[in-house]
Amino acid sequence: MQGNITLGFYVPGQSFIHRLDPRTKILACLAITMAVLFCNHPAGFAALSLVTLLALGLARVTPQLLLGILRPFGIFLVLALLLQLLFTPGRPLMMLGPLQLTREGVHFGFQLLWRLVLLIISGSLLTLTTSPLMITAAMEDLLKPFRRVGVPVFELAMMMSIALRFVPTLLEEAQQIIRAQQSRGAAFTRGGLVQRVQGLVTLLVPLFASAFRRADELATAMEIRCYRAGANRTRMHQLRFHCRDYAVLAGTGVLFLIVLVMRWWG
Amino acid sequence: MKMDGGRAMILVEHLTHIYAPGTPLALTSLEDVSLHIEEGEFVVLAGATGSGKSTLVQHFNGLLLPTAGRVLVGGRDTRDKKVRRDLWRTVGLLFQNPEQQLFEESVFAEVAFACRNLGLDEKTVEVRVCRALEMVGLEPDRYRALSPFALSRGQQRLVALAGLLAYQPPVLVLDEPTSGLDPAAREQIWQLLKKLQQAGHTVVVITHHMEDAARFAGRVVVLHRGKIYRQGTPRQVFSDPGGLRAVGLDVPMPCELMYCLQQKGLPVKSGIITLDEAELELKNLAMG
Repeated sequence: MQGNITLGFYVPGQSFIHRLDPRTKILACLAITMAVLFCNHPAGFAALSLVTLLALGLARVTPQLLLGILRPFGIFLVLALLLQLLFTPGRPLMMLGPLQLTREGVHFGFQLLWRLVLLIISGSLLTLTTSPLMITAAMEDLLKPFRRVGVPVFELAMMMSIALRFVPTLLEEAQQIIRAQQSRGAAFTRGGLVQRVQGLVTLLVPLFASAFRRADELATAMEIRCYRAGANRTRMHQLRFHCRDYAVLAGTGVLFLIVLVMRWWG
Repeated sequence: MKMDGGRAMILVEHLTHIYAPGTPLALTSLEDVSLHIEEGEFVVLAGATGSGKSTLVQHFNGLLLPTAGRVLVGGRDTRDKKVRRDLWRTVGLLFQNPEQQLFEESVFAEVAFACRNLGLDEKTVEVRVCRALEMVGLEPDRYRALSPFALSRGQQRLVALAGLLAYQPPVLVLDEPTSGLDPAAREQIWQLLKKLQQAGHTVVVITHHMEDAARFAGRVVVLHRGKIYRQGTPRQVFSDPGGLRAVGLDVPMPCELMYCLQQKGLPVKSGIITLDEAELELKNLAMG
Protein backbone atom coordinates (compact mmCIF):
# COMPACT_ATOMS: atom_id res chain seq x y z
CA MET A 1 0.00 0.00 0.00
CA GLN A 2 2.99 2.29 -0.31
CA GLY A 3 1.59 3.61 -3.55
CA ASN A 4 4.83 3.17 -5.42
CA ILE A 5 4.15 3.19 -9.11
CA THR A 6 5.78 0.16 -10.56
CA LEU A 7 5.71 -1.87 -13.72
CA GLY A 8 2.38 -3.59 -14.08
CA PHE A 9 0.56 -1.26 -11.74
CA TYR A 10 -3.06 -0.54 -12.58
CA VAL A 11 -4.53 2.84 -11.71
CA PRO A 12 -8.32 2.81 -12.06
CA GLY A 13 -9.81 5.74 -13.92
CA GLN A 14 -12.30 6.96 -16.48
CA SER A 15 -10.06 8.54 -19.11
CA PHE A 16 -10.41 7.99 -22.84
CA ILE A 17 -7.64 5.40 -22.78
CA HIS A 18 -9.20 3.65 -19.81
CA ARG A 19 -12.47 3.24 -21.66
CA LEU A 20 -10.93 1.75 -24.80
CA ASP A 21 -11.54 -1.92 -25.40
CA PRO A 22 -8.60 -3.86 -23.94
CA ARG A 23 -8.11 -5.63 -27.28
CA THR A 24 -7.69 -2.24 -28.95
CA LYS A 25 -5.11 -1.27 -26.38
CA ILE A 26 -3.15 -4.49 -26.77
CA LEU A 27 -3.14 -4.24 -30.56
CA ALA A 28 -2.26 -0.55 -30.52
CA CYS A 29 0.48 -1.19 -28.00
CA LEU A 30 1.81 -3.98 -30.21
CA ALA A 31 1.70 -1.79 -33.31
CA ILE A 32 3.53 1.05 -31.58
CA THR A 33 6.10 -1.34 -30.14
CA MET A 34 6.83 -2.77 -33.58
CA ALA A 35 6.89 0.69 -35.11
CA VAL A 36 9.36 1.88 -32.46
CA LEU A 37 11.60 -1.11 -33.18
CA PHE A 38 11.46 -0.71 -36.95
CA CYS A 39 11.73 3.05 -37.00
CA ASN A 40 15.02 4.54 -38.18
CA HIS A 41 13.94 7.91 -39.43
CA PRO A 42 13.80 11.10 -37.31
CA ALA A 43 10.36 11.96 -38.70
CA GLY A 44 9.10 8.53 -37.64
CA PHE A 45 10.45 9.06 -34.15
CA ALA A 46 8.82 12.46 -34.01
CA ALA A 47 5.48 10.99 -35.05
CA LEU A 48 5.74 8.13 -32.55
CA SER A 49 6.72 10.52 -29.77
CA LEU A 50 3.75 12.72 -30.58
CA VAL A 51 1.39 9.77 -30.50
CA THR A 52 2.83 8.60 -27.19
CA LEU A 53 2.52 12.09 -25.77
CA LEU A 54 -1.07 12.27 -26.95
CA ALA A 55 -1.82 8.90 -25.34
CA LEU A 56 -0.22 10.05 -22.07
CA GLY A 57 -2.39 13.13 -22.14
CA LEU A 58 -5.55 11.18 -22.94
CA ALA A 59 -4.79 8.77 -20.09
CA ARG A 60 -4.36 11.77 -17.74
CA VAL A 61 -0.87 10.71 -16.72
CA THR A 62 0.77 13.48 -14.69
CA PRO A 63 4.47 14.30 -15.12
CA GLN A 64 5.17 12.95 -11.61
CA LEU A 65 3.52 9.67 -12.45
CA LEU A 66 5.51 9.50 -15.69
CA LEU A 67 8.73 10.01 -13.72
CA GLY A 68 7.61 7.34 -11.29
CA ILE A 69 7.16 4.93 -14.18
CA LEU A 70 10.57 5.64 -15.68
CA ARG A 71 12.58 5.85 -12.45
CA PRO A 72 12.97 2.10 -11.84
CA PHE A 73 14.51 1.80 -15.32
CA GLY A 74 16.91 4.68 -14.71
CA ILE A 75 20.10 2.70 -14.23
CA PHE A 76 19.31 0.40 -17.11
CA LEU A 77 18.64 3.32 -19.45
CA VAL A 78 21.79 5.19 -18.49
CA LEU A 79 23.86 2.02 -18.86
CA ALA A 80 22.42 1.33 -22.32
CA LEU A 81 23.18 4.88 -23.37
CA LEU A 82 26.74 4.81 -22.01
CA LEU A 83 27.59 1.49 -23.64
CA GLN A 84 26.40 2.76 -27.01
CA LEU A 85 28.15 6.10 -26.57
CA LEU A 86 31.52 4.68 -25.67
CA PHE A 87 31.79 1.45 -27.61
CA THR A 88 30.47 2.29 -31.06
CA PRO A 89 33.26 2.52 -33.61
CA GLY A 90 33.17 5.41 -36.07
CA ARG A 91 34.25 8.97 -36.58
CA PRO A 92 35.62 10.25 -33.27
CA LEU A 93 34.16 13.37 -31.67
CA MET A 94 36.35 13.50 -28.59
CA MET A 95 38.58 11.28 -26.50
CA LEU A 96 37.75 10.27 -22.94
CA GLY A 97 40.93 8.61 -21.74
CA PRO A 98 41.21 5.28 -23.51
CA LEU A 99 37.62 5.56 -24.77
CA GLN A 100 36.37 7.67 -27.57
CA LEU A 101 33.09 9.30 -28.19
CA THR A 102 32.02 8.82 -31.80
CA ARG A 103 29.41 10.48 -33.96
CA GLU A 104 27.79 7.14 -34.57
CA GLY A 105 27.89 6.38 -30.87
CA VAL A 106 25.98 9.53 -30.03
CA HIS A 107 23.49 8.80 -32.79
CA PHE A 108 22.85 5.18 -31.85
CA GLY A 109 23.02 5.86 -28.12
CA PHE A 110 20.28 8.44 -28.13
CA GLN A 111 18.24 6.50 -30.64
CA LEU A 112 18.37 3.47 -28.36
CA LEU A 113 17.55 5.55 -25.31
CA TRP A 114 14.56 7.09 -27.03
CA ARG A 115 13.37 3.70 -28.26
CA LEU A 116 13.54 2.23 -24.79
CA VAL A 117 11.72 5.18 -23.24
CA LEU A 118 8.93 4.91 -25.83
CA LEU A 119 8.67 1.16 -25.29
CA ILE A 120 8.48 1.53 -21.52
CA ILE A 121 5.86 4.24 -21.76
CA SER A 122 3.64 2.42 -24.22
CA GLY A 123 3.85 -0.82 -22.24
CA SER A 124 3.17 0.98 -18.98
CA LEU A 125 0.22 2.82 -20.49
CA LEU A 126 -1.36 -0.52 -21.25
CA THR A 127 -1.01 -1.92 -17.73
CA LEU A 128 -1.67 1.44 -16.10
CA THR A 129 -5.06 1.84 -17.73
CA THR A 130 -6.20 -1.77 -18.06
CA SER A 131 -6.98 -4.06 -15.17
CA PRO A 132 -5.16 -7.40 -15.27
CA LEU A 133 -8.52 -9.09 -15.60
CA MET A 134 -9.30 -7.16 -18.77
CA ILE A 135 -5.85 -7.81 -20.21
CA THR A 136 -6.34 -11.52 -19.76
CA ALA A 137 -9.78 -11.44 -21.28
CA ALA A 138 -8.43 -9.57 -24.28
CA MET A 139 -5.46 -11.89 -24.69
CA GLU A 140 -7.74 -14.87 -24.54
CA ASP A 141 -9.95 -13.36 -27.20
CA LEU A 142 -7.10 -12.33 -29.47
CA LEU A 143 -5.35 -15.67 -29.24
CA LYS A 144 -8.47 -17.72 -29.79
CA PRO A 145 -7.60 -18.58 -33.42
CA PHE A 146 -4.41 -20.28 -32.24
CA ARG A 147 -6.37 -22.82 -30.24
CA ARG A 148 -6.94 -24.71 -33.47
CA VAL A 149 -3.24 -25.46 -33.69
CA GLY A 150 -3.05 -26.67 -30.11
CA VAL A 151 -1.91 -23.57 -28.24
CA PRO A 152 -3.26 -23.77 -24.66
CA VAL A 153 -4.69 -20.27 -24.83
CA PHE A 154 -6.79 -20.37 -21.69
CA GLU A 155 -3.99 -21.75 -19.57
CA LEU A 156 -1.55 -19.15 -20.88
CA ALA A 157 -4.01 -16.35 -20.27
CA MET A 158 -4.69 -17.58 -16.76
CA MET A 159 -0.98 -17.88 -15.97
CA MET A 160 -0.39 -14.40 -17.26
CA SER A 161 -3.20 -12.88 -15.30
CA ILE A 162 -2.04 -14.58 -12.11
CA ALA A 163 1.50 -13.33 -12.65
CA LEU A 164 0.26 -9.79 -13.30
CA ARG A 165 -2.06 -9.98 -10.36
CA PHE A 166 0.68 -10.95 -7.92
CA VAL A 167 3.42 -8.54 -8.95
CA PRO A 168 2.09 -5.68 -6.79
CA THR A 169 1.18 -8.07 -3.98
CA LEU A 170 4.67 -9.50 -3.79
CA LEU A 171 6.29 -6.07 -4.01
CA GLU A 172 4.13 -4.85 -1.18
CA GLU A 173 4.95 -7.89 0.85
CA ALA A 174 8.67 -7.49 0.19
CA GLN A 175 8.44 -3.94 1.46
CA GLN A 176 6.63 -5.09 4.56
CA ILE A 177 9.23 -7.76 5.27
CA ILE A 178 12.10 -5.33 4.72
CA ARG A 179 10.56 -3.04 7.31
CA ALA A 180 9.97 -5.85 9.76
CA GLN A 181 13.60 -6.93 9.46
CA GLN A 182 14.87 -3.37 9.70
CA SER A 183 12.92 -3.14 12.95
CA ARG A 184 15.06 -6.00 14.19
CA GLY A 185 18.27 -4.35 13.10
CA ALA A 186 18.85 -6.08 9.76
CA ALA A 187 21.07 -4.13 7.36
CA PHE A 188 19.92 -3.78 3.78
CA THR A 189 21.56 -0.60 2.66
CA ARG A 190 24.67 -0.35 4.80
CA GLY A 191 27.59 -2.44 5.95
CA GLY A 192 29.87 -4.64 3.90
CA LEU A 193 29.00 -7.14 1.21
CA VAL A 194 28.54 -10.00 3.69
CA GLN A 195 26.12 -7.96 5.76
CA ARG A 196 24.12 -6.96 2.73
CA VAL A 197 23.87 -10.51 1.46
CA GLN A 198 22.71 -11.57 4.90
CA GLY A 199 20.16 -8.79 4.74
CA LEU A 200 18.93 -10.17 1.43
CA VAL A 201 18.52 -13.63 2.95
CA THR A 202 16.29 -12.20 5.66
CA LEU A 203 14.09 -10.85 2.87
CA LEU A 204 14.13 -13.70 0.37
CA VAL A 205 13.40 -16.61 2.70
CA PRO A 206 10.17 -15.16 4.09
CA LEU A 207 9.17 -13.88 0.65
CA PHE A 208 9.54 -17.30 -0.95
CA ALA A 209 7.84 -18.99 1.96
CA SER A 210 4.85 -16.73 1.56
CA ALA A 211 4.82 -16.98 -2.25
CA PHE A 212 4.60 -20.76 -2.00
CA ARG A 213 1.92 -20.51 0.64
CA ARG A 214 -0.03 -18.13 -1.56
CA ALA A 215 0.31 -20.37 -4.59
CA ASP A 216 -0.94 -23.27 -2.55
CA GLU A 217 -3.91 -21.35 -1.24
CA LEU A 218 -4.75 -20.03 -4.68
CA ALA A 219 -4.65 -23.52 -6.18
CA THR A 220 -6.97 -24.78 -3.46
CA ALA A 221 -9.33 -21.87 -3.94
CA MET A 222 -9.46 -22.56 -7.69
CA GLU A 223 -10.09 -26.27 -7.17
CA ILE A 224 -12.87 -25.55 -4.70
CA ARG A 225 -14.54 -23.43 -7.36
CA CYS A 226 -14.08 -26.28 -9.85
CA TYR A 227 -11.87 -24.20 -12.12
CA ARG A 228 -11.14 -25.81 -15.46
CA ALA A 229 -9.24 -24.00 -18.15
CA GLY A 230 -11.33 -23.31 -21.21
CA ALA A 231 -14.59 -24.63 -19.89
CA ASN A 232 -16.30 -22.10 -22.13
CA ARG A 233 -17.47 -19.84 -19.40
CA THR A 234 -19.42 -16.75 -20.33
CA ARG A 235 -18.29 -13.34 -19.16
CA MET A 236 -20.04 -10.75 -17.11
CA HIS A 237 -18.65 -7.95 -19.26
CA GLN A 238 -18.61 -8.87 -22.92
CA LEU A 239 -15.86 -7.18 -24.90
CA ARG A 240 -17.24 -4.90 -27.58
CA PHE A 241 -15.56 -2.57 -30.06
CA HIS A 242 -16.84 1.02 -30.23
CA CYS A 243 -16.20 3.84 -32.68
CA ARG A 244 -13.28 5.08 -30.61
CA ASP A 245 -11.69 1.64 -30.85
CA TYR A 246 -11.89 1.60 -34.65
CA ALA A 247 -10.47 5.11 -34.74
CA VAL A 248 -7.52 4.22 -32.50
CA LEU A 249 -6.86 0.98 -34.39
CA ALA A 250 -6.94 2.77 -37.74
CA GLY A 251 -4.68 5.53 -36.42
CA THR A 252 -2.01 3.26 -35.02
CA GLY A 253 -2.28 0.97 -38.05
CA VAL A 254 -1.59 3.84 -40.41
CA LEU A 255 1.28 5.04 -38.24
CA PHE A 256 2.78 1.54 -38.29
CA LEU A 257 2.52 1.35 -42.07
CA ILE A 258 4.09 4.77 -42.52
CA VAL A 259 7.04 3.76 -40.36
CA LEU A 260 7.44 0.56 -42.38
CA VAL A 261 7.28 2.47 -45.64
CA MET A 262 9.86 4.96 -44.41
CA ARG A 263 12.19 2.13 -43.43
CA TRP A 264 12.12 0.30 -46.73
CA TRP A 265 11.52 3.03 -49.22
CA GLY A 266 12.48 6.20 -47.36
CA MET B 1 -2.49 7.98 33.72
CA LYS B 2 1.13 8.70 34.51
CA MET B 3 1.34 12.22 33.27
CA ASP B 4 3.33 13.79 36.05
CA GLY B 5 6.93 13.07 36.75
CA GLY B 6 7.49 10.89 33.67
CA ARG B 7 9.39 12.23 30.70
CA ALA B 8 8.09 12.12 27.17
CA MET B 9 9.46 8.96 25.60
CA ILE B 10 7.68 9.54 22.33
CA LEU B 11 6.54 12.99 21.31
CA VAL B 12 4.47 13.42 18.18
CA GLU B 13 3.85 16.98 17.06
CA HIS B 14 1.39 17.89 14.31
CA LEU B 15 2.26 14.76 12.39
CA THR B 16 0.83 14.43 8.91
CA HIS B 17 1.65 11.50 6.70
CA ILE B 18 0.70 11.16 3.06
CA TYR B 19 1.47 8.02 1.10
CA ALA B 20 2.68 8.54 -2.48
CA PRO B 21 2.18 12.31 -2.48
CA GLY B 22 1.62 13.84 -5.90
CA THR B 23 0.40 10.65 -7.59
CA PRO B 24 -3.17 9.52 -8.29
CA LEU B 25 -2.72 7.10 -5.39
CA ALA B 26 -1.91 9.80 -2.84
CA LEU B 27 -3.51 8.94 0.46
CA THR B 28 -3.53 11.03 3.60
CA SER B 29 -3.09 8.49 6.34
CA LEU B 30 -2.47 10.81 9.29
CA GLU B 31 -3.51 14.41 9.63
CA ASP B 32 -2.17 16.77 12.27
CA VAL B 33 -1.77 14.16 14.99
CA SER B 34 -0.20 15.26 18.27
CA LEU B 35 0.49 12.76 20.99
CA HIS B 36 2.93 12.19 23.76
CA ILE B 37 3.75 8.96 25.46
CA GLU B 38 5.52 9.04 28.80
CA GLU B 39 8.22 6.65 29.85
CA GLY B 40 6.67 3.60 31.52
CA GLU B 41 3.18 4.17 30.17
CA PHE B 42 0.86 1.46 28.86
CA VAL B 43 -0.96 2.91 25.88
CA VAL B 44 -3.52 1.18 23.70
CA LEU B 45 -4.09 2.52 20.21
CA ALA B 46 -7.52 1.72 18.83
CA GLY B 47 -9.41 2.59 15.69
CA ALA B 48 -11.15 1.01 12.75
CA THR B 49 -9.21 -0.47 9.85
CA GLY B 50 -7.53 2.29 7.87
CA SER B 51 -7.63 4.79 10.71
CA GLY B 52 -3.85 5.19 10.59
CA LYS B 53 -2.74 3.18 13.63
CA SER B 54 -0.11 1.16 11.84
CA THR B 55 1.15 4.21 10.00
CA LEU B 56 1.48 6.06 13.30
CA VAL B 57 3.51 3.37 15.05
CA GLN B 58 5.87 3.06 12.10
CA HIS B 59 6.85 6.65 12.79
CA PHE B 60 7.95 5.67 16.30
CA ASN B 61 10.95 3.71 15.06
CA GLY B 62 11.71 5.77 12.00
CA LEU B 63 10.47 3.39 9.33
CA LEU B 64 8.22 6.16 8.09
CA LEU B 65 9.08 9.82 8.23
CA PRO B 66 6.58 12.65 8.68
CA THR B 67 5.31 14.41 5.58
CA ALA B 68 4.78 17.35 7.95
CA GLY B 69 5.30 17.79 11.67
CA ARG B 70 7.84 15.85 13.67
CA VAL B 71 8.36 12.86 15.91
CA LEU B 72 10.80 12.86 18.81
CA VAL B 73 11.90 9.65 20.48
CA GLY B 74 13.74 10.19 23.74
CA GLY B 75 14.07 13.83 22.71
CA ARG B 76 15.72 13.09 19.39
CA ASP B 77 14.16 13.84 16.01
CA THR B 78 13.54 10.73 13.91
CA ARG B 79 14.41 12.60 10.73
CA ASP B 80 18.04 12.76 11.85
CA LYS B 81 19.76 10.03 9.87
CA LYS B 82 22.08 8.96 12.66
CA VAL B 83 19.21 8.75 15.14
CA ARG B 84 17.07 6.86 12.68
CA ARG B 85 19.60 4.13 12.11
CA ASP B 86 19.74 3.18 15.77
CA LEU B 87 16.13 3.84 16.62
CA TRP B 88 15.27 0.15 16.49
CA ARG B 89 17.41 -0.33 19.60
CA THR B 90 15.14 2.00 21.56
CA VAL B 91 11.78 1.25 19.99
CA GLY B 92 11.07 -2.42 19.35
CA LEU B 93 8.28 -2.75 16.83
CA LEU B 94 6.43 -6.00 16.25
CA PHE B 95 4.44 -5.84 13.04
CA GLN B 96 1.04 -7.22 12.40
CA ASN B 97 1.36 -10.91 11.48
CA PRO B 98 5.02 -11.04 12.48
CA GLU B 99 5.17 -14.73 11.56
CA GLN B 100 5.80 -13.41 8.04
CA GLN B 101 9.26 -12.24 9.04
CA LEU B 102 10.65 -15.61 10.15
CA PHE B 103 13.61 -16.83 8.12
CA GLU B 104 16.13 -18.64 10.31
CA GLU B 105 16.73 -22.36 10.44
CA SER B 106 15.97 -22.74 14.13
CA VAL B 107 13.76 -21.09 16.69
CA PHE B 108 16.84 -20.20 18.69
CA ALA B 109 18.55 -18.39 15.82
CA GLU B 110 15.31 -16.63 14.98
CA VAL B 111 14.86 -15.27 18.49
CA ALA B 112 18.55 -14.41 18.68
CA PHE B 113 18.55 -12.41 15.44
CA ALA B 114 17.99 -8.96 16.93
CA CYS B 115 20.25 -9.70 19.92
CA ARG B 116 23.07 -10.57 17.57
CA ASN B 117 22.42 -7.41 15.58
CA LEU B 118 22.87 -5.54 18.85
CA GLY B 119 26.32 -7.07 19.02
CA LEU B 120 25.85 -9.00 22.26
CA ASP B 121 28.20 -11.85 23.07
CA GLU B 122 26.92 -15.40 22.61
CA LYS B 123 26.65 -16.10 26.31
CA THR B 124 24.33 -13.16 26.90
CA VAL B 125 22.39 -14.05 23.76
CA GLU B 126 21.88 -17.58 25.06
CA VAL B 127 20.57 -16.36 28.41
CA ARG B 128 18.30 -13.75 26.87
CA VAL B 129 16.86 -16.04 24.21
CA CYS B 130 16.01 -18.73 26.75
CA ARG B 131 14.40 -16.20 29.06
CA ALA B 132 12.38 -14.70 26.20
CA LEU B 133 11.17 -18.12 25.07
CA GLU B 134 10.10 -18.91 28.62
CA MET B 135 8.29 -15.58 28.85
CA VAL B 136 6.11 -16.37 25.84
CA GLY B 137 5.51 -19.90 27.11
CA LEU B 138 7.66 -21.91 24.71
CA GLU B 139 9.97 -24.27 26.59
CA PRO B 140 13.47 -23.44 25.38
CA ASP B 141 14.74 -27.01 25.44
CA ARG B 142 11.84 -28.33 23.47
CA TYR B 143 11.62 -25.63 20.83
CA ARG B 144 15.07 -24.14 20.33
CA ALA B 145 16.27 -26.56 17.68
CA LEU B 146 13.01 -26.78 15.72
CA SER B 147 12.54 -24.99 12.43
CA PRO B 148 10.22 -22.04 12.90
CA PHE B 149 8.41 -23.12 9.73
CA ALA B 150 7.41 -26.39 11.39
CA LEU B 151 5.44 -24.59 14.09
CA SER B 152 1.79 -23.63 14.05
CA ARG B 153 0.90 -20.06 13.16
CA GLY B 154 0.19 -19.19 16.78
CA GLN B 155 3.54 -20.56 17.87
CA GLN B 156 5.29 -18.69 15.07
CA ARG B 157 3.70 -15.55 16.42
CA LEU B 158 5.10 -16.30 19.86
CA VAL B 159 8.55 -16.90 18.39
CA ALA B 160 8.44 -13.51 16.69
CA LEU B 161 7.34 -11.92 19.95
CA ALA B 162 10.16 -13.65 21.81
CA GLY B 163 12.58 -12.22 19.26
CA LEU B 164 11.40 -8.76 20.24
CA LEU B 165 11.50 -9.38 23.98
CA ALA B 166 14.95 -10.96 23.83
CA TYR B 167 16.71 -7.77 22.81
CA GLN B 168 14.88 -5.79 25.47
CA PRO B 169 14.17 -2.44 23.83
CA PRO B 170 12.95 0.15 26.35
CA VAL B 171 9.86 0.84 24.25
CA LEU B 172 7.73 -2.06 23.04
CA VAL B 173 5.32 -1.34 20.22
CA LEU B 174 3.07 -4.19 19.15
CA ASP B 175 0.68 -4.10 16.21
CA GLU B 176 -2.21 -6.44 17.01
CA PRO B 177 -0.08 -9.00 18.83
CA THR B 178 -3.01 -11.17 19.84
CA SER B 179 -5.02 -11.41 16.61
CA GLY B 180 -5.57 -15.03 15.68
CA LEU B 181 -4.39 -16.40 19.02
CA ASP B 182 -6.51 -18.53 21.33
CA PRO B 183 -7.91 -16.89 24.50
CA ALA B 184 -5.31 -18.48 26.77
CA ALA B 185 -2.38 -17.25 24.69
CA ARG B 186 -4.04 -13.86 24.39
CA GLU B 187 -4.41 -13.51 28.14
CA GLN B 188 -0.84 -14.66 28.61
CA ILE B 189 0.49 -11.99 26.25
CA TRP B 190 -1.45 -9.20 27.93
CA GLN B 191 -0.26 -10.31 31.36
CA LEU B 192 3.27 -10.46 30.03
CA LEU B 193 3.05 -6.95 28.61
CA LYS B 194 1.70 -5.66 31.91
CA LYS B 195 4.61 -7.28 33.72
CA LEU B 196 7.07 -5.72 31.30
CA GLN B 197 5.49 -2.33 31.85
CA GLN B 198 5.84 -2.76 35.60
CA ALA B 199 9.49 -3.62 35.01
CA GLY B 200 9.94 -0.21 33.42
CA HIS B 201 9.20 -0.70 29.73
CA THR B 202 7.00 1.69 27.82
CA VAL B 203 4.32 -0.36 26.08
CA VAL B 204 2.21 0.67 23.09
CA VAL B 205 -0.29 -1.86 21.76
CA ILE B 206 -2.64 -1.69 18.81
CA THR B 207 -5.69 -3.85 19.39
CA HIS B 208 -9.34 -4.33 18.58
CA HIS B 209 -10.03 -6.15 21.86
CA MET B 210 -11.58 -3.42 23.91
CA GLU B 211 -12.10 -5.66 26.93
CA ASP B 212 -8.36 -6.23 27.13
CA ALA B 213 -7.68 -2.56 26.51
CA ALA B 214 -9.98 -1.66 29.41
CA ARG B 215 -8.21 -4.04 31.76
CA PHE B 216 -4.60 -3.32 30.93
CA ALA B 217 -4.20 0.11 29.38
CA GLY B 218 -3.31 3.20 31.37
CA ARG B 219 -4.43 5.28 28.47
CA VAL B 220 -6.49 4.58 25.36
CA VAL B 221 -6.00 6.61 22.20
CA VAL B 222 -8.71 6.29 19.57
CA LEU B 223 -7.87 7.19 15.99
CA HIS B 224 -10.47 7.92 13.38
CA ARG B 225 -9.63 8.66 9.75
CA GLY B 226 -6.10 9.76 10.55
CA LYS B 227 -6.99 12.01 13.46
CA ILE B 228 -7.10 11.48 17.20
CA TYR B 229 -10.77 11.06 17.96
CA ARG B 230 -10.48 10.68 21.72
CA GLN B 231 -7.91 9.83 24.36
CA GLY B 232 -7.80 9.31 28.10
CA THR B 233 -8.12 6.59 30.69
CA PRO B 234 -10.23 3.59 29.66
CA ARG B 235 -12.98 4.90 31.92
CA GLN B 236 -13.07 8.24 30.15
CA VAL B 237 -12.87 6.82 26.66
CA PHE B 238 -15.45 4.09 27.16
CA SER B 239 -17.97 6.42 28.78
CA ASP B 240 -19.52 7.12 25.38
CA PRO B 241 -20.37 3.83 23.63
CA GLY B 242 -22.44 5.57 20.96
CA GLY B 243 -19.56 7.78 19.82
CA LEU B 244 -17.13 4.89 19.74
CA ARG B 245 -19.48 2.74 17.74
CA ALA B 246 -19.83 5.57 15.24
CA VAL B 247 -16.09 5.35 14.53
CA GLY B 248 -16.19 1.58 14.14
CA LEU B 249 -15.18 0.41 17.61
CA ASP B 250 -16.82 -1.72 20.26
CA VAL B 251 -16.88 -0.95 23.93
CA PRO B 252 -16.22 -3.60 26.58
CA MET B 253 -19.26 -5.72 27.34
CA PRO B 254 -19.70 -4.60 30.98
CA CYS B 255 -19.51 -1.00 29.87
CA GLU B 256 -22.12 -1.62 27.18
CA LEU B 257 -24.39 -3.36 29.69
CA MET B 258 -24.26 -0.51 32.17
CA TYR B 259 -24.87 1.99 29.41
CA CYS B 260 -27.98 0.10 28.27
CA LEU B 261 -29.28 -0.11 31.84
CA GLN B 262 -28.76 3.61 32.21
CA GLN B 263 -30.66 4.25 29.00
CA LYS B 264 -33.56 2.28 30.49
CA GLY B 265 -33.52 4.66 33.43
CA LEU B 266 -32.01 2.36 36.02
CA PRO B 267 -29.78 3.96 38.66
CA VAL B 268 -26.37 2.48 37.84
CA LYS B 269 -23.01 4.22 37.94
CA SER B 270 -21.30 5.10 34.72
CA GLY B 271 -17.63 4.51 34.12
CA ILE B 272 -17.75 0.79 34.77
CA ILE B 273 -15.38 -1.15 32.60
CA THR B 274 -14.57 -4.52 34.20
CA LEU B 275 -16.75 -7.54 34.83
CA ASP B 276 -16.11 -7.43 38.57
CA GLU B 277 -17.28 -3.85 38.82
CA ALA B 278 -20.33 -4.66 36.75
CA GLU B 279 -21.17 -7.62 38.99
CA LEU B 280 -20.95 -5.47 42.09
CA GLU B 281 -23.12 -2.81 40.52
CA LEU B 282 -25.76 -5.35 39.48
CA LYS B 283 -25.80 -6.76 43.01
CA ASN B 284 -26.33 -3.28 44.40
CA LEU B 285 -29.11 -2.76 41.91
CA ALA B 286 -30.80 -6.05 42.86
CA MET B 287 -30.59 -5.23 46.56
CA GLY B 288 -32.34 -1.98 45.72
